[in-house]
Parts: sequence; structure tokens; C-alpha cells
Amino acid sequence: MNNDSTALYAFRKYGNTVLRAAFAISGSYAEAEDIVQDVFLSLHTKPRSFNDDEHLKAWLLRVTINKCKNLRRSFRFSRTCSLDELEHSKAICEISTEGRELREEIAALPKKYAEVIFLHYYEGYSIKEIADILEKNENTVGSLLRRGREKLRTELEREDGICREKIIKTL
Amino acid sequence: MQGKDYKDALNELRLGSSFCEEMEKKLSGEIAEADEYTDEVTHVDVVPERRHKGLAIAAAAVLLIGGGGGGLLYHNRESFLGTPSNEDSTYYDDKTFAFPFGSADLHGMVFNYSLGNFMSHGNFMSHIPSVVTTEDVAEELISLFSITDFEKLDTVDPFAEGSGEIIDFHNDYYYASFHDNGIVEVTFIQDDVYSEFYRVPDDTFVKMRNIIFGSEGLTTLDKFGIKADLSGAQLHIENYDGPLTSSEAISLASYINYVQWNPRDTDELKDSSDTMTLDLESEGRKYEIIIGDNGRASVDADGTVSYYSFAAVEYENMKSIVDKGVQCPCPIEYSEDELWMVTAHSMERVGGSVYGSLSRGAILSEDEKKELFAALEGVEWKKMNNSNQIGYFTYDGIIIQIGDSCLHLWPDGNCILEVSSHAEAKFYRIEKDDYEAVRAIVTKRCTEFKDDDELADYLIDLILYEDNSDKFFMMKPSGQEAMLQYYTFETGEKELKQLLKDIEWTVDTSGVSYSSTIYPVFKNMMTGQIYITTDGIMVINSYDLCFRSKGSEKLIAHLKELKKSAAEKEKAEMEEKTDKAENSEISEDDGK
Repeated sequence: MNNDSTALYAFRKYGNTVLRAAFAISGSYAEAEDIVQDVFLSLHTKPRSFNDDEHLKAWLLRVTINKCKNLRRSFRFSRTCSLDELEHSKAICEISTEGRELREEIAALPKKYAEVIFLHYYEGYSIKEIADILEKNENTVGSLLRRGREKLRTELEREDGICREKIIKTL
Repeated sequence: MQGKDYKDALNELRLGSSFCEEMEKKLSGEIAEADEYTDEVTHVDVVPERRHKGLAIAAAAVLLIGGGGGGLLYHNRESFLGTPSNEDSTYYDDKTFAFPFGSADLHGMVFNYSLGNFMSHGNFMSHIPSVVTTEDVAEELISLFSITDFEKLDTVDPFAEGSGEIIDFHNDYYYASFHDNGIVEVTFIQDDVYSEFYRVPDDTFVKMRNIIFGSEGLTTLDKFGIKADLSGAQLHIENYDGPLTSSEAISLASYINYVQWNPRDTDELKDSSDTMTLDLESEGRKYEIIIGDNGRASVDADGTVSYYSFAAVEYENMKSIVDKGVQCPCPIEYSEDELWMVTAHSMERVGGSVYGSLSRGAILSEDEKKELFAALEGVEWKKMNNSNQIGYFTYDGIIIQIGDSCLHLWPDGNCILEVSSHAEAKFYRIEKDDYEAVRAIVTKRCTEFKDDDELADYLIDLILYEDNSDKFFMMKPSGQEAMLQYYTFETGEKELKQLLKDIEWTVDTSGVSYSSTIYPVFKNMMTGQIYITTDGIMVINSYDLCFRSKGSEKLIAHLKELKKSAAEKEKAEMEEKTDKAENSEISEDDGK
């Protein structure tokens, strides 16, 4: 891919993608930070080759999802995205705070919805591709996507945030 | 949903520059020694799924698959422990304490609290924050441990008692879990993976909990202007009136403290169809908290009532914490037509106080099926409302497989019925005595069962089940971690199945060689995978079963050839694709 090690190349190119995936799925800034380190250090210590960038990215996402799943404290209530946590993070910056409320709701989504929502709405994968990645039935992925979207909408409707109306309109 | 706002919200996050610099430094460093990476060694997916001990253990636990590993496990022990194990070596200094299982720096150590082996609660506890110990806390812990007797156990019956509270920590060498029943489980995670068990005095756990998590305790409710200990509260739900258990009080207190409650002017509880009520007293004042499934709540403090709203989805979670279950009939049906297979898992000594994971299995005769079914019918079954629970782990479970239904039972009374043709599992709870009765039958059957080859053939048939397709898959070595990449074989499943069944298999308990090449084949992820090693071992990880064979050369040669030709075919296709793409670019350039 270039002269750098695969892990370094991967980190430079997909570090933020992995961070966002890890946050969207784990729902925690602290866990996302750990996962980013784990994913790339794992690639560094166990190098492997990839056909192309897409292959590399798919692998990184798959490992990120697995690491999120394997977190010992793996339920949504470990999924706290407190501002305090973010402010103490050396690894993660918030470019602007506009999406903060939506991020709180993303963090509150149960993991099984969070991963399909991320893969579909952030990465743009089709239901079939998500089904392949997650090794789930396409119908299951479709249902998870629908229920996840509804859950997100329900949660947002309960909030009294400034961005509430704007966000709900997009759901 | 339009994903723009979702995407924008995430795009506002990025890695900090100092973190990036640090990572780039790490990633620019020397790559680990080549022998650390063995392409053919299998990874997390051969770890028995029901025991979650964290990624590090999971990744390494492959060594334990199929058996204790015997000498292999014990052999390397002294070589990698930071402090060699020595029961008399307990000492302490300012911040490092030498446990009999190895030293640990307790200053800055991360301690986690969980209700890990209590299925209905475990996950709700996870929002109790982990604690990083200060110097003072480390000193207090060292004072406690320095007067604590760690008795190394010769027999393992660790989870017979206790409510499932666990405090754990880990370092590079081991995970140490302190259970509330005084059992300390230490799992070593370096070159080899194995466990040791210790017993500490009964009050050690509570003392340790109070030092780390605060003497106010984890049962303190601190909401609605109330500060009270929930452990004395009375619970009223549809099918239960009585006190909260200790673990329920911890879970519920932390959960109620966690949920956002918004004050409201009016009482809207009347619109709820289900409620849970907590009656409690603190400092002479009486409180009644009523929580409704419509996301409304009322709090009566000595006659002064206030109202709240909360996210209604939380109700189901709170209700699950205090779920007592609903009595139900035996969840499986007697079937003469189906074969019944049972397995019994245990932790067995493989040397000193070192334990290995071991399973044995049996196919039941008609009379044995009837005996087991009668025992299952005699069990008091309760259906639990915990369809989303994961995170439990315990040892000494049993499995009863009937057709595509798989019933797992564990010593803590938790049971899961999985039907491979259905996506969701059903959860049950039984009494420990009932579990013991069923386990006794299953264990006896497994001990007496001698036809290992019949058992192996049953499992081969179960995983490579009969249908119209001749298709199967083989995981690529690099795909085993990511669970993403596998070779697809459109034909050959029936031939492979025949080769597998032609072999005479015997149950093996000696463990899997770390350096073996492993061929993981499967037809459907849901029904499991069969791992064949070049040492002639077949691992069925879903059931913790491992078989050894003589005369498996033909099978291994076949698998090797399949893998080789699939890899070559894939490479050729990739090259063809690249050529086409390049040609297409050239054509486009020519057209300009």
C-alpha cells in the first residue's frame, strides 16, 4: 500500500473511522479510545496483508465490532458518553458540539442496533453487505435496522434538547 | 432515515493530535517477533462461548480447548509468572502486594465490580464505574490482604454458593476474580491458560468492596431527594411481594441512580398497565416509589407526593432486575424420533491446583431418554424475561441437545434454550437442587458412555446437517479473528462428511497443540464449526468436545488440498479482476 507498515498506514487512513465505529457501537468514549489502540496495535503485532484499502477497512471494522462485542462490560449501561469522560480523554476531540445530543442517543442504543445503524448510515453498506459482515440473516439485519431507527427516534422524541426537532425530522 | 445528521454527529469526533503522535510512534516501532504470529493458529472463535473472561483470556484460551492440557499447561507455569507461586511468599511493600498467585501493583489498579455469574443481573451492573485505586486505597487493600489467608483449593466447587457479586482486576499475567462466597479464581493468561482457585475468609469480599467502592455501599439509592439503603426495601410486583435480595438491591439502586428522572406536575401513572413499587425507610421517614411501564413514576415521601417521567424503555430493564420468573412447564418435549445427546462440562485437576476445562458426552438410549425427561419434568421451571442477557459465565454446565434444540443448564440455576432454526434464545431459572439432580443423571450417562465414535458421528451430522445443498465453508486463517473471511465450496460437503464419518474417533482430553494447522469447516455458523488439526484432532467447540483419531491422513490431505486449491483459485480471480480493471483504465485513457 505504501512504504509504511500496514498498521501505520491503516491508522493514518482509518484511525478516525475506527474511532467513530468504536464509539457508535460501544457507546463510550473511554472504550472507543481503548478499542482504537487495540485494533491498530493488534495489526501492528500481527501483520497481515490486504488486497486493497476496502479489504483493509472491512477488516478493521470487523475487528472493531468484535472488540466491542468482547468488552467485558458489554451492555448498554456501560455505554456512557458523559462529557466528563470526553473532557478527560486525551485521545478524542470534539470538533464541534452540535451533534452532542445525537451522540448521546447513539451511545444509548443497544449494541445490536448500534452496529447495523453504523454500518448502514455511516459506512453506507447495504443490508446484504451488513448481513455478510455480521453473519446474520438479511431479514434479521433489516429488522434490526428498522427497530434501531425506531428506537433512536423514540429516544430523541423524549429528549428536550435544542437539536431535538432538527434531528427528529431526519429520522 | 436520512443518515446525514447521524454521520455529522460522528464526524465531529476525531482522534487528538497527541494521541495520534503517540500511536504513530508505537506503530512505527519494531514489529513483534515473527514467531508471535502463527498464521495457522486459531483464535477467539474456538473459545467456548459461554464463558466470557475478557478478550485476553479468550484469545489465549484456545490452548484449553478440548481438555485440560495436562502437563502442557503446568509445565510452563513457573517460567512466566512475575512472581513464582509460593504459598509462603506473601509479603507487602508500599504498593505491591505479592499474592500467592503472583504480585500485583495495587496503586493505580483498575477494579471492576459485576454480578458476573448471575445471568439476570450481570449486564445491568456494568454502569457501576470501575475504580482506579489511589495510593490510600492501595495501602488499605494491602493491609487487608496482608492479614488474609489465601487457602489454595484442591477441589473446585466455586460457584455453589454466593449471590454472584464479583470484584476483579488483572495485570499482564493473570485475571483475579474475588467472588462474594470467598472464592478467588485466578486465570493465568500468558503462554498457557489455566485457572487456580483460592478461598479467603467470608468477610474479605465485603471489606474489599467497602475499601474500593466506598463504605456507603452499592445499595444506596440517591435520587428523588432520597438517600437510603435499598437493601431493606420491600418490592411489590405482579407476582411477588417481599424484600429485595442483596444483588437486586445493588442492581436496582445503581440503575435508578443512573436513569434520568424528570419532574412532572401531574400523576400519569394511571395510564400504566404494569407497575413496580418499592417501600423503604430511611432516618425515620417512609418512602413509596411507584414506577410505571408508561415511563411515569411517583414518589411518596411521608405523604408528600412528587411525579416524574423517564424513558419508558427503562421500565423493562428495571423489571428484569427483579424478575422472579413465571412458572412454566418443562421447555422441551419428549421425542422418540430424535437422538438425544448430552454433555457435562467440568473443571478438572490436571496437576497441583491447576485446572483444565473438560467435557464428556453421551448419546442416550430410549430408557435413558425417558429417565432424563422424567427428571426434567420434575424440575420447577421458571421462564425469565431476560431475552437480551449475555455476559454470564460459570463452570460445570450441562447441555442437552435434542434435534436442533439445545438446552444449556448451569449450576447457578440459569438455563438457556437455543433452537438453531430460531434467532432468539429463551431463558429459564431452576433451583440448584434440581440442577444437581439433572446433572447427576447426565454425568452418569457421560461416564458410562463408551461409543465415542457414535458421539463424534452425531456431532458431524449435527453440524454438517442433511439438506439439498452440497455447499460448505472453510474459514481462512486470517478470517478466524475477524470472522469475515472464508472459502466457499459449492460442492464437496457430502464427501467431506463421509471422510469425517469414516474415521474412528475417540474422545480426547489432552488438549490441542498450539502449532497445529487448523481447518475450520462449517455449513452454517448457527449450527457450529468443526475444527480439524493436522495432529488428527477434531474440536467441536460449541460443546467443548475434542476427539482424536488414527488414520485421519486422508482427511487432512483432503482438507489441505481443498484449502490450497481455494487459495489458488481466489488468487487467480483476484489477478484477473486486477487485469480487467487495469485494462479498463487503459481503454478509458485511450478513449480520451
